[in-house]
Amino acid sequence: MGDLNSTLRDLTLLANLPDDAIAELAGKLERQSLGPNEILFREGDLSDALFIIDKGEVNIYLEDEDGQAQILNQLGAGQSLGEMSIIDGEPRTASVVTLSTVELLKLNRTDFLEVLSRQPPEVMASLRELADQMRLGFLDILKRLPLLEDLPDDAIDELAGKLVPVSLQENEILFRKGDPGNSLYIIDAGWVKIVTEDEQGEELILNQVGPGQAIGEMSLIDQEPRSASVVALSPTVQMFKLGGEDFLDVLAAQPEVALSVMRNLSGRMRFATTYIEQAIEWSRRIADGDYDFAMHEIESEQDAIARGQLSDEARATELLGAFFAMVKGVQEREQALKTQLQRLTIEIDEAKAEEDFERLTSSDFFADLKATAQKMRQDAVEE
Amino acid sequence: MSKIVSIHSFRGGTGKSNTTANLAAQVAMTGRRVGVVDTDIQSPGIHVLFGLDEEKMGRTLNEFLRGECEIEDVAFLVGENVGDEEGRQKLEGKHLWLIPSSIDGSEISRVLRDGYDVNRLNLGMRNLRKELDLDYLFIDTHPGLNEETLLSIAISDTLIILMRPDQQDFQGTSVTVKIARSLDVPELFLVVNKALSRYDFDQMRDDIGRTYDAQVAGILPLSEDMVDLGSSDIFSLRYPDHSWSQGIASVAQRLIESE
Repeated sequence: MGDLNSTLRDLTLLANLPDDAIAELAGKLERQSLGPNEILFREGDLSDALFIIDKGEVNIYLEDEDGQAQILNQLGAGQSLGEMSIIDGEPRTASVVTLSTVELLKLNRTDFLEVLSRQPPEVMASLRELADQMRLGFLDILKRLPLLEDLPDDAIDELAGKLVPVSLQENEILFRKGDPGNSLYIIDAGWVKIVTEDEQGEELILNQVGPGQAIGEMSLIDQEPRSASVVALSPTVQMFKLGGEDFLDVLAAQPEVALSVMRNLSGRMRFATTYIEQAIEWSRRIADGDYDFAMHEIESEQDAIARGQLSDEARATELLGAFFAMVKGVQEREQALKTQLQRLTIEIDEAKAEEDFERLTSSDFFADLKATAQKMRQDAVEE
Repeated sequence: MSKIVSIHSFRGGTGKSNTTANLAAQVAMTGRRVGVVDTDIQSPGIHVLFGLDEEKMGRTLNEFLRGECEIEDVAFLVGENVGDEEGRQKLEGKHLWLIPSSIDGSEISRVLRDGYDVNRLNLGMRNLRKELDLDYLFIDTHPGLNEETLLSIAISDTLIILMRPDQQDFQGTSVTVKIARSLDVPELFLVVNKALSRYDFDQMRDDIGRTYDAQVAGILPLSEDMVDLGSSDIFSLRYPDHSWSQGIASVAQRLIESE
């Protein structure tokens, strides 16, 4: 992976630290190895270290009340975890589990603070400010946004000035389907779910959106009511709101923004197409009584998801999986019904049957008939 | 290739006339030449399914048996008289003939009193096959084992024993199967009709096949829809996707396969 100094400088937070600070921090890096399926840290744990992945892959996930894991992202070699935590010590916002054998470089918070304490105070101050900016967003996030990735710096600056920070707690509703809406939201930290309701009032999850992604552009663009509801998934979700007027101002000044927004929407439309295709296919199969297909797809895509292959197909399957979990219930009910089918008992009084047979066949008529039958068949054949 | 197929039940109420009519219709739909003889002279009933009523009925089997006409005079070509019902209309132009028995009360009591010559009946059926160049001749019989029904069993190439899944029918079928074997009937099929849906049909098929050591050609479900239609039309032509219709179609298929 190259020398540790440049590894550390790759982190946005530490990029501008003096050389001696970097060298000292490099010296404090510890190597840590984990096997596959080991938990590195859990949501809510105190953040006591920053991790840089040297080898291997990890999954970032949240656990719901039933202990089911919702995978949010996958990181690999060269990526870091908990950059900002070593400065502010806030609890972990998600859990991390290894997918493969993983080699990590660990920088303890205590070591970090100790090294920095020997630096001039302005170094720590600018780090805190940078961390604030990174956590509440502007530069870094905006640059990371697929929505805005092609924009020149001055466009980013202009936008940065117009963004308003918004925080949500878990399960808080950002907006509801049908609400009037005229702003776009850019997610900085945490995850939200895009939901609607089916006819029975059951929640249908259409998508999950996380850091770096934008939602709500549609109302911004077409000024129709919100097409779905948005609910916070993570304990804390940090977002930036961009109002409609401000967006139009930016657009006038920086037309390239329009292209970026279109590209973003296009990606989501492609996902929607995949989702719809899959939903139709699943529904058709299930209407044919083929429940195994649905179950098999859920299981095989869960493998893909666990391996971090979050293609549109995999994500669509993951979302459909929840919806079609009821399929299993239907199938089980049918099975239960089948096993309740009764077995017909056939009791034949053989003795009586023999008796009746004897009686019927002992007549002259029958004897004649038997003889004639043979002849009749022969005649029929000869005809 | 010409086959005589008798459909027989030990007791009444098994749905024999309906089954015979539908089976004959299914075979006729394949283009084969099919005749249906109602030998249940005491209580004829199959003619209703083919849209034949008192007015339309011409000559009957009774007249033939008395020597008053030839058998081909009695044959009623259903394919040219389909009427208005949806199911029967599909038989338009098909080669399906019906040889009905008289529904006239005095006719019936006459034959019950005087009986008839079974040899003449036998001869009639042979001639019918020749005259109309039939591929199949279906015989709808009176329930039970009496001289007439024993005759039709004796002359059949294929005997279909129709039963409901109840103890009395099981018992009676046992005797019928023994008799059929004693008469060396070349081919024997069992068909269960009016089976309740709460039973496992596949299991029933196995159990019955094993009990009689005979082939089960079909397990047909009890259907409210059939009760509703009554005898006014050929159910399997009118509602081909119904499970009963699919059942009867596969019995027809069995018949054809063993040609």
